[in-house]
Amino acid sequence: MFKILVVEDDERLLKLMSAVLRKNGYDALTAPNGVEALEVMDQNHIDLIISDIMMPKMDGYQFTRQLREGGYTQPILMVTAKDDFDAKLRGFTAGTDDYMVKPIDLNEMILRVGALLRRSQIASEHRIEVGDMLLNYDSFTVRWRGEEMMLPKKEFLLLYKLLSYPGRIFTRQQLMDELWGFDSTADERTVDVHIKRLRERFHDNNAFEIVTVRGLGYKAVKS
Amino acid sequence: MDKLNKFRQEKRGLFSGMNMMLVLRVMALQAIATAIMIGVFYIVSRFELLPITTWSLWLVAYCLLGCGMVVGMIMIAIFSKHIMQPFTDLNRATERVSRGDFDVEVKVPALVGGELRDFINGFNKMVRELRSIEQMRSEFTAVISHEFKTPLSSMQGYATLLQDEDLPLQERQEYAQIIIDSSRRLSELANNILKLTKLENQQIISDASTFSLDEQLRLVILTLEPQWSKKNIEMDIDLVPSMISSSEELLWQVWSNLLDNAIKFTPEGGTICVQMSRGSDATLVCIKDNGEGMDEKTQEHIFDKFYQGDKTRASKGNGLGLALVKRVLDLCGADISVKSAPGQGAEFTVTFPEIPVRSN
Repeated sequence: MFKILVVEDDERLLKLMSAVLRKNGYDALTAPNGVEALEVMDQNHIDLIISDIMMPKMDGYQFTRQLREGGYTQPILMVTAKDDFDAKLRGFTAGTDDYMVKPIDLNEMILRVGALLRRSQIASEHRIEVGDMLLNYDSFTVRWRGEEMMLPKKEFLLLYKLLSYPGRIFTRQQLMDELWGFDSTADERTVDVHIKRLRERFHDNNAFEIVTVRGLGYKAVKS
Repeated sequence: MDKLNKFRQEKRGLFSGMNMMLVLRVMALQAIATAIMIGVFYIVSRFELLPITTWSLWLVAYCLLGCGMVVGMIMIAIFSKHIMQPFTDLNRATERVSRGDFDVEVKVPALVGGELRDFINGFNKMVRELRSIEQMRSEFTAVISHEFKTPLSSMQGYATLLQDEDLPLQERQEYAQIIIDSSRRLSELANNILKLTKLENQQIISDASTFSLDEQLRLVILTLEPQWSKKNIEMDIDLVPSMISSSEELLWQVWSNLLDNAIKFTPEGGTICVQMSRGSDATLVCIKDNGEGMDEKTQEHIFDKFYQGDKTRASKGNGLGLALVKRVLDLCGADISVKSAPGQGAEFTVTFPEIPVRSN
């Protein structure tokens, strides 16, 4: 069972969030501020943290930064009353993975927790299973129907990225930034070329499909 | 106004404030005139310049002096009040304004001209501005207070209904959902008011950066994907690569609001068209939906705060979204226009004047 730590100074909200998490099959641990949260983490292996930003003793940003600097790589979901760009930027720079604004939709919280845990599993295991296909990040290989195929680096990374977030649309710019880096001189057509190659390579694979969303970008869809 | 008039009719003491200054000045002039006269008479009598006896000379002198003083006093009595009046009026008016009473106006007296007249006119204009701002503020407060009270009372009502133990499950779910929706609306309203207030106090854009406008539009569309895909809305997107120098955060808000509205008012299975084009002197972004559209009257007021065309729209928005959009675009130096007709959807066009952007 996944252990989730909820760090929130509002007692009522803390109770509410833990109750909902437990109802959904997670083990919820709680702390009213960053300092006590660190103590909890000393005693327990935590799979995911949900943290408020505005807290006494140590705010959410400091807490996140300390965790990241200490080598904690599990997902952190920030919850806050402040819906501003600046706060989001600070949060992401400090190292959070996702962001929710109060009042929280508890159903949405569960969905995000689920998605973050899956991603983190993928990230930590470096493997993705799609139907009868297995992608291995460490070797850039794809195993399918008994055959193991090694892909060129960029092609593999592109496929891996798309399949890590099935159903999610990515713009060409986003894909380029991630795969070729922000300062690359490659242009968006390079992405198109790689997509074409992937489609050709997997044209008879019915485990997934790369869909073009006109005007927006691409997404991978599991069949 | 009555108080001010009454005050004007009061007698002002001869030796108070500015009156004293005037009195002293007149007395000083009189003293000098007297001294000169005495001097002249002394010389005339001493050197017998005129065939007049000393006695009569001194008599004439004292008479003139006496008359002079009397005339002087009369002049002070008449004119000081007249000249001092504007200052006293201004004093009184300023005091009232500082206490929050903007219902004042200072009259410019007949013989006053030049800078004093300009000053009084300027003062009156300033008070008129304050009056209208105050009016807008209290109207705004009244509307906001109503906008908050409506969902709050709705929430209270449904929560009370939920306390009924015998309530069937379906109703329980329905009422709970209404409460959730109302609280979400309230939270959005609070956010929007904060943003709008902050923007209204801003005169310039302080966080300008150069970024890709087309990519920003795509990212906003992606962010809203859960909403449009849930309604099976087709997104027809046609953008051109375009860099722009402006506030990334504020423009994000603009697209977010416009697209959110488009999604809200487009029916299930409808189409939203986002198109960008570049002319020689402007960049246009056009967001078009095929929803219910709006009539001319609504179109005219659509960017006003809290304006909601008809009751059906009122339930979907909070009336501030477009006011926010307009304010941001004003700050960015861009223009927005709307084209619509009932039943024929709505088309919002944002026009950015072409600003030369340094390309890497």
